[in-house]
Amino acid sequence: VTSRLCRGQVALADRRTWEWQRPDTSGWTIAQQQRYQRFERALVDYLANEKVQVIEKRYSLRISQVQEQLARAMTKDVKGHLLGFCALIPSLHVRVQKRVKAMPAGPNPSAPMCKGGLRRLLDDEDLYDALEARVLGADARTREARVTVLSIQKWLVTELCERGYKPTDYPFTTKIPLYSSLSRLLKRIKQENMAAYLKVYGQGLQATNLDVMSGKGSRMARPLPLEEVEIDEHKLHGIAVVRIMVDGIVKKVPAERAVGIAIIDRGSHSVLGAAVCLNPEAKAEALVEAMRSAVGPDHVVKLPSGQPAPPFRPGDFDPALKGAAWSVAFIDNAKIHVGDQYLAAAARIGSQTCYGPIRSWSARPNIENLFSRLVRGKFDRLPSTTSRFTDSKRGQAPADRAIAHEIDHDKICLAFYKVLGQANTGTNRGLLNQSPIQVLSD
Amino acid sequence: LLILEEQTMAHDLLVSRYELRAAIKKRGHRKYDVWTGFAPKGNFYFSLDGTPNCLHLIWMEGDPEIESYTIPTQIAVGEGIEGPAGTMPDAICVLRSGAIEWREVKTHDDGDKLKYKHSDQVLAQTRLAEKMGVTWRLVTTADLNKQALLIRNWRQGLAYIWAAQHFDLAPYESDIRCVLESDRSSILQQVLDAYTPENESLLIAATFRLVQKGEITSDLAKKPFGLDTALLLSSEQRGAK
Repeated sequence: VTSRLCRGQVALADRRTWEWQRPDTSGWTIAQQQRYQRFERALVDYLANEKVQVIEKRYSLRISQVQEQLARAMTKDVKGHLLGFCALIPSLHVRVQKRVKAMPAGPNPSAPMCKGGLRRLLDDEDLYDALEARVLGADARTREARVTVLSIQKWLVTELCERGYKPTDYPFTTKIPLYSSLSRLLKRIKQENMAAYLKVYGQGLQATNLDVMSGKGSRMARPLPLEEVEIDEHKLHGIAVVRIMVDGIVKKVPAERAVGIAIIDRGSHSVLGAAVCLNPEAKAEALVEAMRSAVGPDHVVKLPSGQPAPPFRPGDFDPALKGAAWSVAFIDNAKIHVGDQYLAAAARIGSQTCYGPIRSWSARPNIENLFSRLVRGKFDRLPSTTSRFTDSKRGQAPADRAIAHEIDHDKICLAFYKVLGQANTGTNRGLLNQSPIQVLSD
Repeated sequence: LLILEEQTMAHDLLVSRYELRAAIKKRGHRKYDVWTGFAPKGNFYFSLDGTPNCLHLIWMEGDPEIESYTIPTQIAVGEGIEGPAGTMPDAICVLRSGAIEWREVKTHDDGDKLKYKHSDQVLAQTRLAEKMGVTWRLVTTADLNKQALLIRNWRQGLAYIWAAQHFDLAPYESDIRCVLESDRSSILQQVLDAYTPENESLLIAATFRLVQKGEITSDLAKKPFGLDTALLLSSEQRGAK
């Protein structure tokens, strides 16, 4: 039995792969060198806490294989040094295991039976590569103006029928329509090869964008960075206490709710600016303050106590990104958005404004995602002052609990700005695993 | 004079706010966007219903063939299928050739279907246009799609021009002319390099103004706007020199 070692079992000092000793691979064959490189990179990524799924996919390895090599790398030689990458011998044996699952059979195969069935069917029939080429527009002869599930389905059904598939065979017998399975597969192919897909259909997608703006189809491409922004406010459902001096004694009183305002760029998904309004409702001044924080290169965002806020804007992390302006702002019909102060500020930036229909949150997906992430992650867990349950059966009154927690305005603002900073610096799947700041820098 | 001009602008802005609020109120629960902004070629603040109308306005702003345009507010009475029908085109354009064009913007791609569906409105408009000796044009989503790049570039251009609204761009325009006269085919980078970097935004705004006036031709319809945008003095300007 080969021993394995999980990364959690490896001491932090031993995880420094850059200090590990490396073998001399100059005399190895190309295949051996490639195999060595693959395992070396997989080990480095594994110890750098990369996701297991990502490693398995990136290097076409099972994690157990990596763990086996990690166990070998952790063994010590006669001098007491770790073997490190020297454990990866040239004749490294790599087993390729393929799980074989039977094709769905019977009149109405169940969903678990059908899972992955379409992909297996395409592999068996050698159609997967053709399908991928069709979706990505790799072949000029089969390239269409726009890839639709329906057109792909028509082609696939024709191909399968020509090969003798009958209506009683899979994939025509399932309760899950072929259309939906195919739709998921197409989505995955596009996601995995987004760069190639955009290269071919990028221009077409610009046109699609216009179609979408006129109310057709679904949005596929994103605009350029610093072109379109979304602005919105959200109540931070926390509770705040403020300290006031009454007759020389410091008293803590529960404060009203705070409202966070953020400006997010549609192209890069980065949060350009933000402000917190210490009121139950957002005020126009706070909105203008948020815009100023995005546009002003030397603007300092402050906490209520006067301390500077933690870095959260792109300009706080990279001085080259200071000061942003945009051409179009997408906002809702809040009262302050049609107020004189906002319109004057928009005129100063030169930004057109699009007022979306009421209750159309999907028109501003980025900002709504950000706020849902913010509220779920930070603010809902705080006790709420708005609760009416103040009787003893339900525990302490929320206001008292707030005082016990000592959650003041500064803490609320800190939580808000920190989440925005994380959103800016964290990687985003929609940006091909880049962070918004990386996209802006490019 | 400056004070008077500022007061006029403030008045215009105020009027536009009323229009905007009225447009939002008029929309109610219906699902379309309301757009607001400034149109420098027409020199007015706009509040438009629906994205296609806004895209069309940006196209008109960037189209070198159009000298000026207005968005009509009064209904004209034309002759429909069943007698007189009130109608209002979405825009009235004055082309550089001197011709006047009425434009109707619709979201449908297929012009024939559209004519059938809106036949009464279309018929009234076409007859009225014929009577007044102007051309009538139907602008569909397909037309807007063809101009997607130009519209995208001019969105930025309008932002530059609007942000520089309170600045006198005439000196910058003459600077740009000087650069282009010395070097007939230039790119934007060369124009910006010729002057101090503090005035970049104003130079870009002035460049867009000159393109709008037809004094400069550019490749904004073919390439995304950037530092490598080609600028060339128009034939009229070269001829005048």
